[in-house]
Amino acid sequence: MKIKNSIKWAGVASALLLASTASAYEQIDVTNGGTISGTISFKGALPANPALSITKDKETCGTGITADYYLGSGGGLQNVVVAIESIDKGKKFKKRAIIPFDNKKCMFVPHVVTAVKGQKLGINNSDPVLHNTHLYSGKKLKTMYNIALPLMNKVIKKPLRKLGPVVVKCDAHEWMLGYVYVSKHPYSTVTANNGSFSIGDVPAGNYKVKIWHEKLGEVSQDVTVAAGGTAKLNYSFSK
Amino acid sequence: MNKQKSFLQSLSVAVALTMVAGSSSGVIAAEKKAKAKTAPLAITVSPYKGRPKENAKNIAAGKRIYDNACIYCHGTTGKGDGPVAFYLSRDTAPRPRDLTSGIFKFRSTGSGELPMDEDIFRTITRGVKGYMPGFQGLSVSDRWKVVYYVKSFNPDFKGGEFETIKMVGGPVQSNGVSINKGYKVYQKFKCWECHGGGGLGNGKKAPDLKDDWGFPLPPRDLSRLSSFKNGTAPEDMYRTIMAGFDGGAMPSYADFFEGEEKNVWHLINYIRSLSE
Repeated sequence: MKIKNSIKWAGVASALLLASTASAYEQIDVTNGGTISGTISFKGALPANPALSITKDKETCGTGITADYYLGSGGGLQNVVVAIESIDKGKKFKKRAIIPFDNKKCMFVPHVVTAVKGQKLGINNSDPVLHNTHLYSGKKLKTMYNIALPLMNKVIKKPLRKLGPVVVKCDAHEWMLGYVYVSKHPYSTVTANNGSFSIGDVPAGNYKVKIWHEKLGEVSQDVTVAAGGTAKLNYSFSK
Repeated sequence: MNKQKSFLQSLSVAVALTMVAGSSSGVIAAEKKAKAKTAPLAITVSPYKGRPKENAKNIAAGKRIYDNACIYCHGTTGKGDGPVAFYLSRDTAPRPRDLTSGIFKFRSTGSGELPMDEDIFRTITRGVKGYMPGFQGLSVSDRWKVVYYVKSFNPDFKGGEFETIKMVGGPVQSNGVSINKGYKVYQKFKCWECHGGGGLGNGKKAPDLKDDWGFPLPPRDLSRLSSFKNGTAPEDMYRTIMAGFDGGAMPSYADFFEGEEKNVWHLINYIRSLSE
């Protein structure tokens, strides 16, 4: 369906090459690596999630749905991205991995997911209604893709080319909201329902680790990883 | 007071430009002839002759033309904030394009991609129905120079990967069989959820649709062919369906029609039949 525009392609090849050598991530065999693990929590009771106004496709979307901004249990906060900010070489990852991203009952599943730049998002529609998955990237929220999903269960694969949080919306259902956090390396994850996370095979060293929540913002923490050791990283958001 | 005066002056210039733009049938005829020759490739290859080189001299020449013709709406820095823009449909879409944003509706490239040079040229030439005037009044060479200057507003035009939508097949004879097939595609691919069962732009999802800047942007009433902003020829409609309108809600259908592009041409016949 699509072809590369070879004329423009050739013109910029050298520029791209320069850019990629400057910031490329090198995949190596990590031996005796360490682990960063811990819990991201929220001080006090979690803020209430607003009720969503479902105005159409109620037979598919249901009614009485609340947003999924603040989820968690036992003081832990779910859907927080934990990612090493900068690392030039480290463990291998599957460049060809497809990151599943579903439209189900008019919500994005998962709500927050991480990916490595160059991997593809596998966008699916599990609903019998029209969805469109509209990805925005950058501070200006520029459209990255706006893909129609008229038919059920056909996975559309789209490469993730921009770093940082990608906001995902659906114009057809204005309450739908999701995030894909794209890093240039595989040292990123999303907290579980109890707020816990673990990032393994980290080469020994000092790192800055970013902790990002869609509504609570982001902070950066210093972490020292010893060879074969486990570095604890706990952080508590508050309102 | 001064501001008011300068606005009125700007407005009269803009009106004059609009009139000039509509009055060059010789150029249009020449372009039609050129276009007819290369019609099958119209989406990816420019049908226009006399394209000047893209260099500093021509970008500067483009700026001089832009500063005369375009700043009233698109602003001196291309941000879509010219003096006339302030008065144009302030609470509804579309606003004059912010040419620095890299978001373009009328493309023959994939969703989220920058447009081809030919796309910008086409928009400058034809204008946007109901909104932007066409500038056939400018020579082909001058329009290209404006294209080059417009590209200078966004550094992404200098590099990066462009993916073009390839036109597969071509318009098919419109008859009952094709229109009926197109109707089935319209149903199956759920065009009706936004554009309505009869194509009147009144589908169940129509009331909530907004553009990227939060302005209400209802889906097109498909029974008014002459109002289609991206053009009315089957090839134009193919581009709209496959590339979508970045900045608006219309998504790209390229992935779902891959391998069955013939259905797009039937769909186009059905949509065109709504205006008959």
